[in-house]
Amino acid sequence: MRARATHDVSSLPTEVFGPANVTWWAALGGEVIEGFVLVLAVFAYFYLRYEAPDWPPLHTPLPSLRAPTINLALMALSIIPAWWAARSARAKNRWATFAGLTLHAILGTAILVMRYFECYALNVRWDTNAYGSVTWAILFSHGYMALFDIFDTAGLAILCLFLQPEERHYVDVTENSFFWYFVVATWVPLFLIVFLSPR
Amino acid sequence: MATTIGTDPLTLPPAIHDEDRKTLHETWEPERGFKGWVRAVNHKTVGKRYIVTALVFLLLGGLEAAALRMQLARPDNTLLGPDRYNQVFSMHGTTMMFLFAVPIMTAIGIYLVPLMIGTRNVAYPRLNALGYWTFLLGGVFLYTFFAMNSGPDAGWTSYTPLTGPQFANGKRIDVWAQLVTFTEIAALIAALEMVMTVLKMRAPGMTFRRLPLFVWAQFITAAMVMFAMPAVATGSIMLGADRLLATHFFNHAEGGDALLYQHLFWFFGHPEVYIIFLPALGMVSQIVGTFSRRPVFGYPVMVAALLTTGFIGFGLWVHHMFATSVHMLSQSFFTAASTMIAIPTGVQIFCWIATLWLGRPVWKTPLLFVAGFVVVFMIGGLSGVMLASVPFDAQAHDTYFVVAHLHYVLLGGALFPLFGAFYYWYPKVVGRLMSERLGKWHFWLLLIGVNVTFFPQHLLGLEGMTRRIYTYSEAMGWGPLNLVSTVGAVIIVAGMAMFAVNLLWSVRHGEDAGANPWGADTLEWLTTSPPPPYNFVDTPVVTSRDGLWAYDGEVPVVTGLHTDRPEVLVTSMMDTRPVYRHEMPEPTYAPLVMAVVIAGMLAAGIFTPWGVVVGTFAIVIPFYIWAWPDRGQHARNLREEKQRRAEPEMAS
Repeated sequence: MRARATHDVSSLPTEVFGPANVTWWAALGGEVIEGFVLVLAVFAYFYLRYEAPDWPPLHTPLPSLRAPTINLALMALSIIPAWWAARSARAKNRWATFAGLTLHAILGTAILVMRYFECYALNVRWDTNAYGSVTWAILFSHGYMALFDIFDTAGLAILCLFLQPEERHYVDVTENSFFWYFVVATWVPLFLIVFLSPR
Repeated sequence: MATTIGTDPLTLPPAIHDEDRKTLHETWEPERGFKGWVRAVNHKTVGKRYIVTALVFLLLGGLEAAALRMQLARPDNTLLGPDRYNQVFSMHGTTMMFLFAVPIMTAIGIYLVPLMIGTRNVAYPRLNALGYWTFLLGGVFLYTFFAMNSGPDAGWTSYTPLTGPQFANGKRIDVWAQLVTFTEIAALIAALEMVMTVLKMRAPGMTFRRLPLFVWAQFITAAMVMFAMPAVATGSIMLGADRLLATHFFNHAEGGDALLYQHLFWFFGHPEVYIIFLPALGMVSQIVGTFSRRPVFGYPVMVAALLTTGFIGFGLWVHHMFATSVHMLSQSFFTAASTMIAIPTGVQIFCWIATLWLGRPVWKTPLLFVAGFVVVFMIGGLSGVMLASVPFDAQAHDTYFVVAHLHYVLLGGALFPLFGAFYYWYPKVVGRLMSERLGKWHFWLLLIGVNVTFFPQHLLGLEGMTRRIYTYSEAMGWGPLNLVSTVGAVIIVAGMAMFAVNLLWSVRHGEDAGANPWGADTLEWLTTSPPPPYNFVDTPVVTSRDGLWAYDGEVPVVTGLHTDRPEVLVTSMMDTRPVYRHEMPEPTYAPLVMAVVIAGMLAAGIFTPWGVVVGTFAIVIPFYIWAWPDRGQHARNLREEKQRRAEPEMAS
């Protein structure tokens, strides 16, 4: 067979931002999988709740709201540096990107520290009863997802600090923020389910 | 100047092309030696490893099956004691489902899909390598514990409360639960890989209307994995937590529920059957089309049937739980859904028959296996329709009738097409054809062996022989049929020996295959056998659903990709318009190191939760090494970005 050149792609870019990029789809795929893990955790929560005569079970106090509310506010706040980092990355502004990432990582770490206090705000241990097990599981699985995003954020911040980022690293920054929005967005229904719905 | 796609010379206009081709080869050429071996990220290298590893697990799972059949060959046998028997049947099921069936279907996809859609690698090659290493280490982990008499012993389902902390001491169940985590990580990685590769890396012109049916099947399967695997992972992690951290997910005394485990397990477990079965359907479609010498009849209906199977596959799980206290309404719903799934499969079988009817079938070994698939799978399907009925299921539950049914479905629905696929694609991978004579011996021995082994088990089940028992007394009268079943297993072993000999013998002595020995239509047959590391010298452009059959002596191709770096073309999702040129990552140790850290974390995690905590933070090290740019590549990219920014300024 003979080959006939019909498409010349030499003028195409080597990086693009957003859904055109394959790594954006990796982030989306990660969100689908992680999101479904959370859906299953919520399914387990309501399955056990449906089976239980009381929820929370007798002699188990309701969860406290102070730490979870503070953390919810922190999460809402963390969207700002994540968004700023992504915006600066699109503008290929190295130091603004670095600053956004650093703030994002610091706030993210604070959120994870608050997650520890949130667990204790449940007012039940994981090994007390099934209610305790499933609520801890929801907090833990969401926290684990947030932790990995913070690893990524910190890594990108370190990269920005020591190296001039390439276009693909700026693309990574936007996708990291995209994942963080997902982390925050999924927390809202989980917060409502775990902390408010038993009331 | 001439270059080649496949074995036919291709003439390309610019004289520089030969030089380009040399550069292309140097860029993509795998690294040599041990270093190259552990750092490899090419989809064909990873795919071949996956296939070979899964075949080793098939051998191990097969040996376990043979041991089970030897034990059951006569009443009151003492070859395997009850404890050993429990471990061996659990290992058999776990190995076949988690370490053979799903991985080998994935592996064949990893090897073939990039070739079939006309690209040079999968979307995330390093992630792909991580998936393989995790899978391999998971298998090594399981068999290491088995060798130390700590293999799982509660079946491949590991139901609670039998597996809860009250009834199962030691680490056997923890090993099972953790193996699930290993294979879940590997399967999810492969699924992500497959979905994104198909969505973003198809050659120009390969719209969804032109996608080969095998690629459709792999794509839908991968999407199913993304929703099914998290369920079993959630269930197995909860089980591990109940055992190690004293949580109470499945402990009724503290508000837990054992049936929650069954829901989570079967929300994965039933789609799992289709995760194994759909790629097999894709293989059958490719084989039927090629050996009928015509396009598969009813392409849109075939695609619709695959999609429908994928959806309905998630609506059947409760039919595994008919013997539990699920609600009557649920039972009716899941009976209806279980019966309904027969429709899309039936539609596909009729389309294949129509294809064969309208075409000129060539009865080579791959097509024989397809015929075997139809026969064996239909028997399994018919007993499946029987089991979909609640009153019948309540009688046959946990008997050998179910064992017969599931083996007919899985061997018929997956193993026969898989062997057909081996005979069909082996020449592409190795460059030589497998022996037809040995192939036919393999086929007939397997077909006879499967029926002799498993048909009597229907009768044993109806006579009341329960599954998972290590022996039975002579007074039960089950001896003769069990002996027949074991004779059948010996025939299967003989057939499999033929296959093993054929696989090894043909590597050196098989007939030279050429690029397209079967005259097939899909893109993998356009390139040489075995394909070069970059798959295609030039990315082909697809002009029709009929692929190569539509080219008429001339292949339109894409030019302009860099040859001095591993670059691939990324296209738009719906109309496959070229969007940008994406540079693939270089080989690296990072995936192997990360897999070792994950393995360490999961292995330690069965003894102490701190294993998971330490492991989680340890992963950061290979994660950062993975992402840190190579110095030379970094400098080059920055230089080129600067040049690109300067060009428009100069022009203005």
